[in-house]
Amino acid sequence: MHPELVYFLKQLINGLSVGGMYAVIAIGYSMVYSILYMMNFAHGDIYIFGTFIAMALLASSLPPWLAILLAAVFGGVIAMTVERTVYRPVRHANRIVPMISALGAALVLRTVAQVIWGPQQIVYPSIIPENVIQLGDFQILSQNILSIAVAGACVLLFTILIKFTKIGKATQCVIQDINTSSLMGIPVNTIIPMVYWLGGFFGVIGGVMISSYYSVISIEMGLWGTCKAWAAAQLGGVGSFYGAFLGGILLGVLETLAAAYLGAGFKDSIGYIAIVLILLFRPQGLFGKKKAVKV
Amino acid sequence: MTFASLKKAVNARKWPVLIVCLVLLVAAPIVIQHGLVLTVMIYIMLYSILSMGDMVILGYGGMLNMGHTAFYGVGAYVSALLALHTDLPFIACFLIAGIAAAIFGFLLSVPCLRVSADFLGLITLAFLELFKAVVTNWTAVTRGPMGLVGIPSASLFGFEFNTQIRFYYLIFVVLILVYFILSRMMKAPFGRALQATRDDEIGARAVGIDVNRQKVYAFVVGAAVAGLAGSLFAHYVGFIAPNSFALDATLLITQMCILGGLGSLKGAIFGAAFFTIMPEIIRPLAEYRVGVGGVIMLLVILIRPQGVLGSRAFAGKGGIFGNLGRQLKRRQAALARRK
Repeated sequence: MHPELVYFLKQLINGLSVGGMYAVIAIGYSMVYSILYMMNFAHGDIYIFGTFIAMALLASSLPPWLAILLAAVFGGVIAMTVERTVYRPVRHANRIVPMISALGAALVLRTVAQVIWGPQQIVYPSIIPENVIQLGDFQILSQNILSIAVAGACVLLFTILIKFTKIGKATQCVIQDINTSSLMGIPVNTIIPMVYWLGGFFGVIGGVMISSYYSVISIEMGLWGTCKAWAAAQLGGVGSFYGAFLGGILLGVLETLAAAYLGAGFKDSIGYIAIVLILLFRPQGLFGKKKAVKV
Repeated sequence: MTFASLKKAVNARKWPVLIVCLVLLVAAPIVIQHGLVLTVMIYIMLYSILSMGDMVILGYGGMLNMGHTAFYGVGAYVSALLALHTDLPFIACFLIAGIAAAIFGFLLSVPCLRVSADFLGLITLAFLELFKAVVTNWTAVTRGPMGLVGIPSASLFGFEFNTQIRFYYLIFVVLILVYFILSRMMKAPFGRALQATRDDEIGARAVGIDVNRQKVYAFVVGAAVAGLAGSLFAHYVGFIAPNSFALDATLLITQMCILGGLGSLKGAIFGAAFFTIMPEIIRPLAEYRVGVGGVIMLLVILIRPQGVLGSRAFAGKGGIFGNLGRQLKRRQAALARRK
């Protein structure tokens, strides 16, 4: 194969695996976002907190998959608690107001994590041993395959949950219209915490993947993750989960290719600018539906 | 004494209260003579100017602005570069910084006209990231992460504002001017039209308001104010680096606006004072400081969802006390029915 092509394919695979991890985080973000249209600025800090817990559990003698699962469940519980304590009291206020309560919750989580694990960057353990898989001229890291596989598994799990269970159908109703679905007997105040729980759950899985991929974790990564998830959710279109998933993957690929061909300094900004350019021509997002405004 | 009665008492004696406050603030640096307190007061005023700029966009315009520190940074860098490489007087650098930031505000607002508030937040966030990337990587002009050093202190007609007390008075005068101009502006037809646009865009359009023009003007005004604050910051500290203009600072300014009360310039000043003084007071808590600050912020916003000085319209049905009151009323009604 041509070396240029090999380089491109390698970067593409890297981009896909980074994008897959963004996508898992963005799904959780997008669920919360499409129900209450609330920018969840605590999402990043919640999943980073869960990722720290996963690190602590991975150090114990538990098998890795169980450790990650437990941490993900716990991350979901944190997300639920945050919803109950600080979002619900201001749910009916102006929609910019919950942003500050999210930031307050994020600060508290950040402090707790900082007291326990310290403010510095920590080396994150890798979940699987690093192997290089040889395909002709072509090499793939086992980490890449793992993160793409986990992203696929998450979207499969998510589809089953949303399409085929009663709770998933209720969630779809709540997303369409909160008031009508509460009139139809759907327990809205049970569904919304559950959606937050799912957001935290998928967030922690994505967070563990991303931290073990870069093999570093620090509490400062939360805000960064929030912005990525927000951008991916917007790119895919509000209210469309598969949109958020594909948006995350696209964001990862764009960033990695930008870093590979234009230099690492502009990595973050190129991703955002590409998203802005795409959204200027499709304001509803790649897969979002246009909403008519009622007067 | 409840908050409402306090507000009423202040409103009834508006002028005496205002004059006492002004006299106290003018006398403060001479009486106090304490370095830390003066620094805190200067930062309060700097952040007040900044958050008043954001208040025009976020509070009066209802547009989510995540790029406010980019305007601030544009102002700071333009002013610093002009002062370092040309021999323009400070006042020219100061005004050009405001104009440069306003131009960026204009450019940014044009593509924003057809999009919703959240997407606007994303565009402004992208602008902030781009600004940071350019400032960090364009080392020939901005010296990258090392930052610009040796920015001369502000001077006006040969008078140097090179001590803290002198700079205090400079920023105090700028603050008063900005507050006065903005509060007039928000009561003028432009401000009214902007608030109408925020509250109901379609309704505003139906009564003949040029909605897009109000949004563009709001961005231009807010960005210009931020640029002026950036210029003051550069000439006060004498050193600027890309780190000062990160996303954290934008979020801090947004917090000031929300906690102070959306749609209130006094709220912006209150928020600036709150978020500058509070960290100093709880500094002894060391590593618990950030979290305790978060809890205090949460309590304030849960008790008054509209912000401390905000209008009731922003609160909706929210708030702990509102919820408790409603539940209490419901229980009383149920008891009455049972009898």
